[in-house]
Amino acid sequence: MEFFMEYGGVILAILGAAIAVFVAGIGSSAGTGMVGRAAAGLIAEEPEKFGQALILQLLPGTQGLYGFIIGFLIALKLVDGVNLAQGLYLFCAALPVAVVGYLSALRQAEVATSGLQILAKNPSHATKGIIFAAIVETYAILGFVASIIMLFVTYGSV
Amino acid sequence: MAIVKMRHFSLLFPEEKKAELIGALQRFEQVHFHSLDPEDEAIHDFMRRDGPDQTEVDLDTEMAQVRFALQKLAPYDMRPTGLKALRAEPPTLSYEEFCGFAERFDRRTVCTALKQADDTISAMKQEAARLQAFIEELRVWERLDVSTEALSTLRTTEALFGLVNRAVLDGLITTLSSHFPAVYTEIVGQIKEDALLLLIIPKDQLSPVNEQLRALGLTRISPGFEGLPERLIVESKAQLAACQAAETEAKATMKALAVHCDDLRTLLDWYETLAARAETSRSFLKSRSVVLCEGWLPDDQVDAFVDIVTDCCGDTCYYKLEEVPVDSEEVPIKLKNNPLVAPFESIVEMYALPKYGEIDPTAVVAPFYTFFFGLMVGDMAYGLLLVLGTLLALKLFKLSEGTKQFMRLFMCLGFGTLVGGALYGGFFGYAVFTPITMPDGTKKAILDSSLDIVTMLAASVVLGVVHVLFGIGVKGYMLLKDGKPLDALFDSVFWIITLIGGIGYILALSGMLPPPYSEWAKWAFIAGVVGLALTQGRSSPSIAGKLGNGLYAVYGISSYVGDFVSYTRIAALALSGAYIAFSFNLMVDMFPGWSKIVVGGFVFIVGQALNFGLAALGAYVHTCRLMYVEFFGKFYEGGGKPYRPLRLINKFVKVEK
Repeated sequence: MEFFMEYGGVILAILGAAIAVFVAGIGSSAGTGMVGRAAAGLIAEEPEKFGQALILQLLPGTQGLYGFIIGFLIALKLVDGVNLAQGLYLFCAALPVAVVGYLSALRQAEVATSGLQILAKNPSHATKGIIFAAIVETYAILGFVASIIMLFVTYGSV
Repeated sequence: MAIVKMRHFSLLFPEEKKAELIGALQRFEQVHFHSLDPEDEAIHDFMRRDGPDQTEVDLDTEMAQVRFALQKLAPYDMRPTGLKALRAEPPTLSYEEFCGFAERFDRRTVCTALKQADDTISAMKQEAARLQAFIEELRVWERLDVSTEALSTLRTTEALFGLVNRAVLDGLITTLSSHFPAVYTEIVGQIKEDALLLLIIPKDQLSPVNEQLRALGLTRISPGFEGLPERLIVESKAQLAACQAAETEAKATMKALAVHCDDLRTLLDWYETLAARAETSRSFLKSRSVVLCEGWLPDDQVDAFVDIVTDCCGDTCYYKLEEVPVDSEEVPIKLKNNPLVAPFESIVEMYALPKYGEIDPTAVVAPFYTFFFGLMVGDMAYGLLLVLGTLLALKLFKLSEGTKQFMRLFMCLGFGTLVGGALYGGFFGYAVFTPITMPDGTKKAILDSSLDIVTMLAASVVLGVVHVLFGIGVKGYMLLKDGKPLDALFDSVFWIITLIGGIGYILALSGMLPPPYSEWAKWAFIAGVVGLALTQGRSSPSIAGKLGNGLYAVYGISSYVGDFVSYTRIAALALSGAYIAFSFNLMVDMFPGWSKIVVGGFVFIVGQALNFGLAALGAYVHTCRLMYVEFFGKFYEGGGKPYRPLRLINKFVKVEK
């Protein structure tokens, strides 16, 4: 118990940082993997469409980046020392980017895969497929910004 | 800043003039034809659908041949690629040269030579592969120093070949030599684990030897060739060399033919131009000797059009020009804006072109779009990159008109980003521009991304209110322009009064608006709501319906709350971009000593490039969304058809008109 009171804060905070990185990262790697597989099939036939196919593949990759940055910023908070309450707080601050990042990466990958159909059949409108996929990104950005606000605006009040 | 005024025309001309006239109109590039239906009107009773003339060239076949030739020549094509291609000037021809190109360029010789060379290459490749396989097979028999033909002439003995596993080889030879000393055995080669044996057996011992051999595990095989293996290999190698020489020669021919790539592309453009003509003539009607066509052209091109038609047909044609009614659904839409806002036409087009009677929203979209985009990206360095990058691309590269407009769009957005960046003070995520002094003496940006987050969110909503009210205002303007002042009052002014009053009232309730303004806001809100409730259901036939629909419309205020909150995405995107840049900068600072410059520099470049791409894409998409959903939803319907005049097709060449 004494151990937990002394180190619990650090443990929870670093657990939060880890979750932000790996949960969002799993989502992104699954997402980019899914679009990448589908894109490879298209590129086999029409290699000149690589550029736009690559953008579609990269879109579900951003959630992993958001998660990585939140994890990084949480880890930086450990420098000043954290008590148990702060540690729990930092753990919670990791959740928006982790959970929304994970799920939105999967959904975005589905839209991006469908976007490849536009690229294959009607390439002059391929930008629209990118836009559809980028709309899903909104909620990952909101999750990321929510985590940022928790880390930078309200952290001082704990 | 408007939709180009169009004129509708009907044109009757003698059929023998058709090729000349349609060519002249295609060169004119201003006429949008529409399809006529022979079943449509009584006047067309004696007319039937026109179509392309049977010309001496079968366009589809010719185009397929040219495309095939270009595809085959692609590996030898010396056309510059990559960045160089962007700087290269396309081949330039005069219009007359372009039209006469098919006659001057001997496509048949080129295509025939190419077909021959291509056939040779594939035939030689196939032959070489066959020979190589044959040689591989012969190598197994290389140690056989007698020809198979000689063996087949043996009279008292018989020669046979067999495979036996090397593990049992010694046993087989020993057994044979002890039981049948007259049998000759020689190892002539091996295939994997098996030894290849030549056996010469006296004919009278054939069946007992065969039985013995089968029992010892020997499999008989017959050679797939006739003659002496060693000599056959030498011959085949000579043939192979000849094949490869022939292939190399054919490839050289291909390479020599590749100088015609530009000519072939020019020809393809010309055929596409002809195909566009043929396609257009499908929308015409004709009788035995007269052709009828209809279409639109911009109002200011009418004189030039009349000149072309009379030049071509003299007084043998008849034309009629009519004004287009504003509520026409059919007329094609061409937008014309001053060069500053013209790049934003692509944003409007992506949603929908306006109808002929609507206004072209490009001019009102442009300033909001630039500002919102700038606020979302919000970094002076990124703004600078956008401006300089697009400027360089425009100066250095030969771009198509569409790409040029795209570059100009992003240059404009770059300036917006510079303004947005100045507000947040960011330069690659470092706070550089910090004009405000805090009470404790520290400096900060006008909107600091860690201290002023709430202010940023509130400011986004305020921008949203301005944007949405502006949209409702545009609707009022459109109604006024259509001569419906009462509708403008009900559907635009009442909403503006209600929304401003309502927002003022909420501010007053939270103590942010002092009296007497709070009272004014309250009464404005009440007046607006009453006005809406009384007027919004006016299209219903019954009194109860009018009131019910009116009240329901008042309930629509709640949707405005959603609209306003939607604008907080401006602050959200700005924050996400700022913090990603900030985090990468923190990482760079963590590298000690020299590695900060080498590794840190790499992290900086990759990280900032990634963030720049993300921020620009996000801002582009989300500004579009704010325009399409929140802004256009208030006043813009769209649904016009695009203006597609009959044009020369110049994908690969430039034709001087």
